Amino acid sequence: MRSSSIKQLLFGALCIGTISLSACKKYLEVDPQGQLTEVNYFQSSNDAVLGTNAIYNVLRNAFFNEGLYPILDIMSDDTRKGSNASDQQGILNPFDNFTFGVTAEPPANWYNTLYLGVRRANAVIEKVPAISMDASLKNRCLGEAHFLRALFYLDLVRAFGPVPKITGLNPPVKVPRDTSIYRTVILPDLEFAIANLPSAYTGNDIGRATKFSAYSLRARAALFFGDYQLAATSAGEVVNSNLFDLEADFSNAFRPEGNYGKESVFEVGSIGIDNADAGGNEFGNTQGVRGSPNRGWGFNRPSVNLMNEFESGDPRKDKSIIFVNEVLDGVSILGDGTTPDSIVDANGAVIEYETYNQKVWANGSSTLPSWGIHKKLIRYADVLLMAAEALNEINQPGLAVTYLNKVRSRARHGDNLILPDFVGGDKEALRNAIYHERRVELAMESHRFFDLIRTGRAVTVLGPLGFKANKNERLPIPQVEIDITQGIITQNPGW
Amino acid sequence: MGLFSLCINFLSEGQSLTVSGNVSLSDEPGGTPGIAVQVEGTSRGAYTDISGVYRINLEASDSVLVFSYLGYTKQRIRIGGRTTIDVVLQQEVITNKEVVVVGYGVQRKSDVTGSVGRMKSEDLVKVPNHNAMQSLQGKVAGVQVVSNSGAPGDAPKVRIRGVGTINSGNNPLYVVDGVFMSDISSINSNDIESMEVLKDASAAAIFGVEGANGVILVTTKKGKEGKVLINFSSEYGIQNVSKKIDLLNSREFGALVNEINPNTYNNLDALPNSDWQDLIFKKNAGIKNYQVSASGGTATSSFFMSLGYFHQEGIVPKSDYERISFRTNYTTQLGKYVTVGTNLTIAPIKKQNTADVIGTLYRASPAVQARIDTGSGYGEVNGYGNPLAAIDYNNSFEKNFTGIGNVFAEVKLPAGFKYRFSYGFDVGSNRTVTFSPVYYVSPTQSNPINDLTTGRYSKNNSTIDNLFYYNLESGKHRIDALGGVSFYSNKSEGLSVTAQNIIRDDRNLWYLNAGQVVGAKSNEDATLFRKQSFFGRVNYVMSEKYLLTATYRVDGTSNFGKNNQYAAFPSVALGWVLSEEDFLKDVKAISNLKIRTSWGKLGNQNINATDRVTVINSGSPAVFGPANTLTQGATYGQTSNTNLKWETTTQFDAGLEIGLFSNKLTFEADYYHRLTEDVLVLLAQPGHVGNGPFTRIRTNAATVLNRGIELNLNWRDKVGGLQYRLGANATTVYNEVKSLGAAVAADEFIVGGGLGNGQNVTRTQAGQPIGAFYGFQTNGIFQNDTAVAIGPVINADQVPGDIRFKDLNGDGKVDFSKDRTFLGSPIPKFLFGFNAGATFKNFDLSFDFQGQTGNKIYNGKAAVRPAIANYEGNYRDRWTTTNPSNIVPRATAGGDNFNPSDFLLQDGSFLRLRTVTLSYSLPESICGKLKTQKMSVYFRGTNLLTITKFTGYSPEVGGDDLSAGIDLGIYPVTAVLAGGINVTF
Repeated sequence: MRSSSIKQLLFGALCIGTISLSACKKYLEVDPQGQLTEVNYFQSSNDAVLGTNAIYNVLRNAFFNEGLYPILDIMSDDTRKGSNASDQQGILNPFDNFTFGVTAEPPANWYNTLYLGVRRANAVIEKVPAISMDASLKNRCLGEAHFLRALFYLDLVRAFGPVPKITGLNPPVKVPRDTSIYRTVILPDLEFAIANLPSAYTGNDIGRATKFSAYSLRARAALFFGDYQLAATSAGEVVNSNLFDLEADFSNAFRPEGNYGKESVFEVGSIGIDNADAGGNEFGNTQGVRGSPNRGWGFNRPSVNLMNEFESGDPRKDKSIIFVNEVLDGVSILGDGTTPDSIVDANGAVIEYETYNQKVWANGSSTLPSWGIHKKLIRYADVLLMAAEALNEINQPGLAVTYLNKVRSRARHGDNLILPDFVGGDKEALRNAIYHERRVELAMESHRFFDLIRTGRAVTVLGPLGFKANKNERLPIPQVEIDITQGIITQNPGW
Repeated sequence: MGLFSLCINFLSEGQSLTVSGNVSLSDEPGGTPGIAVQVEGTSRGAYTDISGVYRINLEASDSVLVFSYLGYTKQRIRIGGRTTIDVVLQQEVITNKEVVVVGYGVQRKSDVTGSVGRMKSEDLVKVPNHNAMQSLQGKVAGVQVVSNSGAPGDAPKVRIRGVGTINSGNNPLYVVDGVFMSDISSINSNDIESMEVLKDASAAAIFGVEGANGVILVTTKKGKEGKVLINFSSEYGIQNVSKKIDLLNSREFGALVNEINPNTYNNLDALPNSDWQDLIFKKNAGIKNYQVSASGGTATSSFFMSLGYFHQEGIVPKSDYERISFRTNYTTQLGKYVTVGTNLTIAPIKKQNTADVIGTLYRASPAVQARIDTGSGYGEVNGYGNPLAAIDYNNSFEKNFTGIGNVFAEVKLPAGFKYRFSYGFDVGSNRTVTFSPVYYVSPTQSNPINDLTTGRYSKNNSTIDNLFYYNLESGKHRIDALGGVSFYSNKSEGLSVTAQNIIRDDRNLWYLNAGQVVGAKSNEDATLFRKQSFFGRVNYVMSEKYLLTATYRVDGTSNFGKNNQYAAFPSVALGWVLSEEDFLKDVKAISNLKIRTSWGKLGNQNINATDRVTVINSGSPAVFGPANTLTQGATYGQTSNTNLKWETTTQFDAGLEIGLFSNKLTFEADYYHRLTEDVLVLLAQPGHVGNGPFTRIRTNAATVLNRGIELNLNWRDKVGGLQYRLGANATTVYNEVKSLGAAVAADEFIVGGGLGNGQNVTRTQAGQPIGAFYGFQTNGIFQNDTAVAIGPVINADQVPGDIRFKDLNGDGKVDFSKDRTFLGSPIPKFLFGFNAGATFKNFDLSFDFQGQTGNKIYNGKAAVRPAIANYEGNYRDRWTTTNPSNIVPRATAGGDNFNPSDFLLQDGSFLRLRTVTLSYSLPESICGKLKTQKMSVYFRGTNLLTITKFTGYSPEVGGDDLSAGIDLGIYPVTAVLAGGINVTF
């Protein structure tokens, strides 16, 4: 065949080639299927609300609760590991006796989950201001995001000490620890929240953070960092709002009857379903009665030491602790078959009873109601006691005693032969009374450990349990963080 | 064309005739015994005797004798009334005109400039398998096949020339009759004619962005001109666990537990003993493989059809696999210039998804009564659950329906051009059902509400190829050229819905309507990926001696952002066939001598389509309101990488091929050097980036080197009537991460090898192989308090009986940050295979060995566990005050003795007798009587013997490459005894 024919053929092939190339550039433009991307999100009012709701979602993340297991209470003298002897022995026994190390799982998972919350809050804080939407709704969303970010950072700094300060999206990898988080993040966040959140919600918005949630959290933060004046005024705002009161029956502060009730300042709503994406919260199941009736795994076992803290006749002891053979809501508590009802030491003294946390007791017929327990992050009783402690420290004992006695009065529940009101005494006596009251009122609500640390009592009280001074005041920074940032993030002293 | 001498005798009518004569071979003067002489069209015949003489009684109607011997050209000789017929048989010369399948076409073997390994169909069915790659183990130099799970239906892990990349797809590309696939489990091995492994740049560059890890071409059987052949084969085998793990029995376990928690077991003798392995693993689990196929053709068309049935019972109950495969390959010419055809396979597959019990049965306490009379009937096993109950309550199966194939048309154009259009597809749909009934065995092994999850998944991949071929032969020059434009699209959709409170446990009610759908537990998603490619290749041969191949391919994909959307992959190769040169042409001993070298770039873009953008996660609801209303929440998902692009592998190869004595001895050697850059790595981000625990982000960061030598040696010969063949292949692999990225300093590393308990045992960093083991070195056991005081200790809690770790930096104490080091590699440095076979009379015996060395395995399943788990036999020798072991520490339930260290690291070398086959081919006389062309029966043993120091079930431990070589409880590979028959009509 002649060469011209070949040339024609080759030319033809080239044409087809180039046409295909240009016509089909569109062929490669493919959007992800079934998913929005960041380019087209945070554009409407609805996006702002959905983005804010997603921050609350972290509160039901199993690892938000101290990395899955209640390690703060277990480290303290309030509780022992719980469940039967071998369950999670390798992971949790070390928290009972302070032998855990820098690669322990629960602190690492907790650390990561708190920052997951921070990221979601940062997304709203950074992107929502630019959305054109109703101003008050916008400020409410931003207020909620600031409040929740402060909540996450408060847990981070109390547990780990200075941590990287992240206030924007997509931070770099190498960020050093920052000692100013309380001053430069938590306080400004709470100030914004206080200014922009409503006092209360109605209908299906009940459960969102309110102005008083923010005041209370500020009181908690101030108390931890020793700013008693700020703690007193913040807690005082909540008291003076007259929107809150103590439930008549102490148990109702925890039972579903008290969900979003007068004593609840901020709680985590959840549904009794065993899946966080479907609305459940694993927190109740982790501590629920083990065995018969089956309400969960049985961790966080109230200790004999805690039992002995209660004054004689204090109804809160029975209402906080589930004992084997008691009957709750008509159900007989038999407990776990493989856990001995009591463990004695060489001298025959009981060192542990099979007990469970009654504050997560859920009536029902399976573990599912345990998943529906609302975790009370801030209770009015705590606010009153924070106010009392702070006021005492700034030498206003009068009001402090009033608040202290309010808590005792409710606990008394009409029986005047028990729990007498606190009367007079010096600052030191009042201080100790408040410390004692915090312990019996707020047992197993993750307060004890931080209370001991911030008041300088940890070494004396927890030393016998294995607490080491100048080390266990903080959890270790997860070793992985130090490895990945190549030492830009440093370890806590003593670890 | 034979030479023969005639002796002419005339018959007198009516006499029966005896014919005899001497038969010899062209290269061996004098007679040869064992040569078959048959009267054509009958079942009568004879073999030549020791001196090469045969004698046959003929009948009047006999007219033709057929002389045959393996390796020599058959001859049909007309008897023509003679009584003496001597014959000399000519040796079959294996010419280099043999044809090899290469990318998008075929090439003469002599013209090939790349490194290509071949497997023929008879080798692919040697191992009873559902995936032909399992037969490739130890057979092709440079190819490592790891059966990283013995579960029926699980595909093996394949690595060609080392491990090129970290974490984003090291699997080779499979091209089945032109259709790109990532897994060939739905292809029936019996349908495969040949598999070619394209190892170097010259061979694989034509596949551009898919070629970096090597390419495996699968060609299915086609019909040949001639009468219709029907083949039937049937094989049945029994499988057993080849080796149990030595675990403590209840008495030993109880004694050990009492050392940790005193008085846990007060009466060791009264403890029940459950040997979980015996209780669970089935004995003699069956494996069946049946086929029937028909093939034939005329001058203008050919067909091949087959129907196959494969069923493998798992040795763990409820893990069976069943596949039916139906194939049709058909080609026909339409007129003088056009050929059309189709290759199609349809395979319905049913697979039971095994309960994840291997880790459980390894750890479960033996001091538990496995079955009891009360409650659920299953004894409570603390911490891990009762494995028998786990199997019983696990009901999960999937049904797959796959169709793979292509339709094509070829048009012969004038002036040496040819155009081929091909539409290839790989479509499939899958239905997965998982049902958990209500049960209560213990608080951690219970299910309060039954649930049913149904998943439907479908995939639809299609390829359109437009290929132009050009061929020109003129004098000394021969040119073969190819130009092509291809479009590829890959769409998959998945849906999963869960319902609860299914009204009965019955299988008939495993449909969502029988319960209440849980809205929040349903999801559906889809992915779409497209690729557009332009490629060309030129092969130029001069004087049959000088070879040049050049290829160039441009690929664009939708996976990458606009900045990096297209990339180009060139390659060039040279070859010199020395045996065709005048100075060697007449050297009879050298039948082939060729040297070749190639260089080229290949790509790898095996990543998630959404990694380059931050996707909105819309499944983050909150719960508000007095009615606990689930309220939707949606926000940014994990952080993204907008600059993602593909990885590029630059490969250099130098090879030598030698054939001696008419290719009785063949030897091939290659040196390869593969450098992969812009390797995509999943980098664990620090927690403050906010992606939550366990999340990693993909980044182009690293450079990896693999280099080594491949050797392949084969020898075929005969001694008298015995024909034998020997083969050996060896591969060395040197794997090193050259760097983890320009933006990153040389001592950055990737932590990997998570054991699931917070420990990580591998570290990938520059200067080490991928996934190298990283931990403490041990230095005996502290025998007493003095030793502990001397130290070095890791903390103040170490006591006598604990492991003494080495203080590598000499500061007197043991720290995680300063005293860990590299302990070994999961990648074997040396892989080898050895096979041998012999045929004598009608018997054939062959065996294959394979093995590897230079790799380690981390016994992750023995590491820290949350509850007290059972221990392996080595703990009988644990340190106690009366047994001062210096190797095994005291009994503890976790603690520092289980820190990542060489205590749990074992040697992963092994030598395995992979297959032994003894087969008997029925003589042609019997075949004739039964009207069959060929019949054989055989017995086969697979994995009969494995020599290794590793204490787990099998030293083949796969895993993703950053966490390779970690045994976390792997479904054991079994030893199989099988027998079968094969009949061709």
